Amino acid sequence: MRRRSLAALCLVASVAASSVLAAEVEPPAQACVGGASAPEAAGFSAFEREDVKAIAERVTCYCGCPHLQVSKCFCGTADSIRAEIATRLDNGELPDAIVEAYVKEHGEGILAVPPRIGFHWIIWLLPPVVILVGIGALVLAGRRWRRPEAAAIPATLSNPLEARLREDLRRTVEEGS
Amino acid sequence: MLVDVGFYLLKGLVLLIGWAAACFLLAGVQNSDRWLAAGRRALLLSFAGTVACAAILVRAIFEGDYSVAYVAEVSEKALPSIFKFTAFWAGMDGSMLMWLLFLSGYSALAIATRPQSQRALVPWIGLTLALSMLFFAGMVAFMTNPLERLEVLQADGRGMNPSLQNYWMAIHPPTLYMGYVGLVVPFAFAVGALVTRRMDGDWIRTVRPWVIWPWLCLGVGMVFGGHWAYVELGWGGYWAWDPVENASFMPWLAATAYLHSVMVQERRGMFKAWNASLLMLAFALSIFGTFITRSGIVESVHSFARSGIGPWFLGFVIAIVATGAGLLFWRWPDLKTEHRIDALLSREFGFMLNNLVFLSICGVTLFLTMYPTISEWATGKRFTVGASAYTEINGTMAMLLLVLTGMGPVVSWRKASARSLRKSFLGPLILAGCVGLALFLAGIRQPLPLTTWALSAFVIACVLGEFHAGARVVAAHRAVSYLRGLSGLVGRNHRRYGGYVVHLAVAMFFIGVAGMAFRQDAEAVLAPGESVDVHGHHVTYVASSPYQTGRSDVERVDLRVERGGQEVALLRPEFKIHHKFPEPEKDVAVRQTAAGDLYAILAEPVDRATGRAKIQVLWNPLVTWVWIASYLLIAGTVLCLWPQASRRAEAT
Repeated sequence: MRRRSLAALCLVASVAASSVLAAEVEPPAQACVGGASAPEAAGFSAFEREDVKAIAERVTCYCGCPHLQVSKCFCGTADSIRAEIATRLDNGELPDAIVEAYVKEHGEGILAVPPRIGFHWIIWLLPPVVILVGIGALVLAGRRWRRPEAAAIPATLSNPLEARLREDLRRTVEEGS
Repeated sequence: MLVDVGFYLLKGLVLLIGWAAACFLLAGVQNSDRWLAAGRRALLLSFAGTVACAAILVRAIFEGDYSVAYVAEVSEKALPSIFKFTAFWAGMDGSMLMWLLFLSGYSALAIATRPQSQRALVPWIGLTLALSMLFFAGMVAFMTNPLERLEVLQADGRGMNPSLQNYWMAIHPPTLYMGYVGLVVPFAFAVGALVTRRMDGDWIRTVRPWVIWPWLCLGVGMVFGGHWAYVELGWGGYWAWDPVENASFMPWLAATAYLHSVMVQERRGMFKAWNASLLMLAFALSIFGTFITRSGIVESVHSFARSGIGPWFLGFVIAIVATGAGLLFWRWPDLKTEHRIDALLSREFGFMLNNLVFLSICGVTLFLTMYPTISEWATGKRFTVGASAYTEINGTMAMLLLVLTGMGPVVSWRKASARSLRKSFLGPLILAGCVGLALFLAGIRQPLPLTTWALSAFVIACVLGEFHAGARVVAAHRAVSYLRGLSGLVGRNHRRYGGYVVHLAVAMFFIGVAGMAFRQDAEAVLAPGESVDVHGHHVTYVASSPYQTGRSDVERVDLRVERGGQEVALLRPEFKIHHKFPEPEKDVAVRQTAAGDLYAILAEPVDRATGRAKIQVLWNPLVTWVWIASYLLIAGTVLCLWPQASRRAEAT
């Protein structure tokens, strides 16, 4: 009964907290900019446009900062790439075509992440395979290494935490005395 | 004159360390105390020699002896004193001498404080340390000697790269190097234990602080590096999965896996071979990281100039791996486990899963770091893997780690029942569910941060639950107040509760990291009086003020930050053009709060004709929690290392 009340209380609290959070967490909408005139604003509008960001995420800056995507690099080179992406989008070019154009110009090394084709699939397949095979191997090994008399060992007492703490406490007190 | 003495002293050290290695070998083979004493003396003397060489280099830097090539490369007359000191490790040659300095310091300390119970291991520990020192002394003396003279005398030095002239760089590299180098001592103990077939619990207990210390240094060093990147590089982040960052992350992961699995060996006599392997892996990875950064095999923003030392480091890594594998193969029959696993639902099995996840993240990070080389072998073209892929892949695996971070302290040794688990985890699971639901209802839909925050709540609830239940039991047992019960609980087992504090730090760290998924940014070319709004902050460009420092021309802008109509801060980002270096430097201005950082960058020099300035403003949520987590991690580790009261009493 007490537990149910606690769960209900938590649920109510979470709904209440969500309303507070909803007020705090703003969607990543475009920031409002005041004052700048249109020509000077070309750079910043490209910087904030979500469609530009989506493409800027896919290519790395060639300013000499390896690994930094254009979306995250704040150097002049990244600025000009973002502005160029914005212009190309405004001219009706499709995102994939824009990325393809950068690859043609600078080579495939400009891509922030290798394309999901052929050999590069290994990047995405290796981690889950390692984890799944590892867990499977550990479970199999654990079963094999298990003592035959394991079943005879009683599972922990009705209040396992308290029993464990009491045992630890007893041991440390004995050691200390 | 002194510089020339130091130059040849470094070469002489190679002979001395070689002699120390020979003495330790003879001491081990002949079981001779005489050779052992000789080896110890030679090792201590070589440490003194290295200190002398380091002092000579520091003196040359402070005196402005620009006839020394290294001094001319990294220092200049106008360099502030604090950075003259950091110039010691700001370049390749000096950093290699620092490696040797720390290595010889650790070696001298390990040999000087040898425990009597480990007497049989000492010659082999000494031999391993001496051989490692021999490698680095050889590199320093013959490949990267920082005391080499220039043929043409220079009036002034080139000066230090401006991005390195930052207070975080005064502590980041030494801390990180102390971590890298410190892993040599546990490696040496493992070698000693395997050679002498003393695979009992004794050496494991002796080596414990020798693992925790470098582990702490690596962790804190990474955070210091993140601090430096955050305030100095001006891209608004603190971690970019750059190869050099990964190089420090990988040995830290291996050492963390060891710190968990060794508990099983201490308690149950299991995983002997595995634990020895982890120590060897951690040291091999620390040397491999140095190979990555100094060979130019992968591109990195941190890379030192390419040099000829790469192949030597690769050879050293191969030697470490071969030695470790050979010893394990040789001593395999002695590494049989004393006990077996009682149940899959047990803390022992939890540690096995924990090790699997740590090493999977380590392996994947290594694979992705080396992917440019791997893809070149496989496809003929070099592909670099960007930060987003690392975050996605490692972030997903880290979720498993978070689950285990919460579960680990609660699951019983040997065998836990499903019923006891249900009892222990019901509360934390309800809390995690409520946090997840609240965030979802609040509009957060990104799976990774949503899961991270919910699981972090789970970890915090599990760990605090352990503290609470323990404090209650102690308070009842001793008939004292709850707070005194809590203090008594922690005081009775520093190691366990220090570890739990570290688990809390991990949860807090993840909370902070996940916040970056909600970063907002804006960029504007503003005239004085104009403004830009980011995440409820109204940022107004007030004025600009150029000034000169003698070494650079600086543009500074004043940005007034208002929130809810109230002025809350004045940010002053700067744009510096250095006279000696072509790359401009952007000094960011940051307003830190618990909710997030307002991060301002002056992207370009102010247009003098119009007064317009290009301003970038970022809202980085929850970054402060990453730094707080690092301090909590230090506190937890110090608690782990703090001697127990009973032992102190015995000692006195």
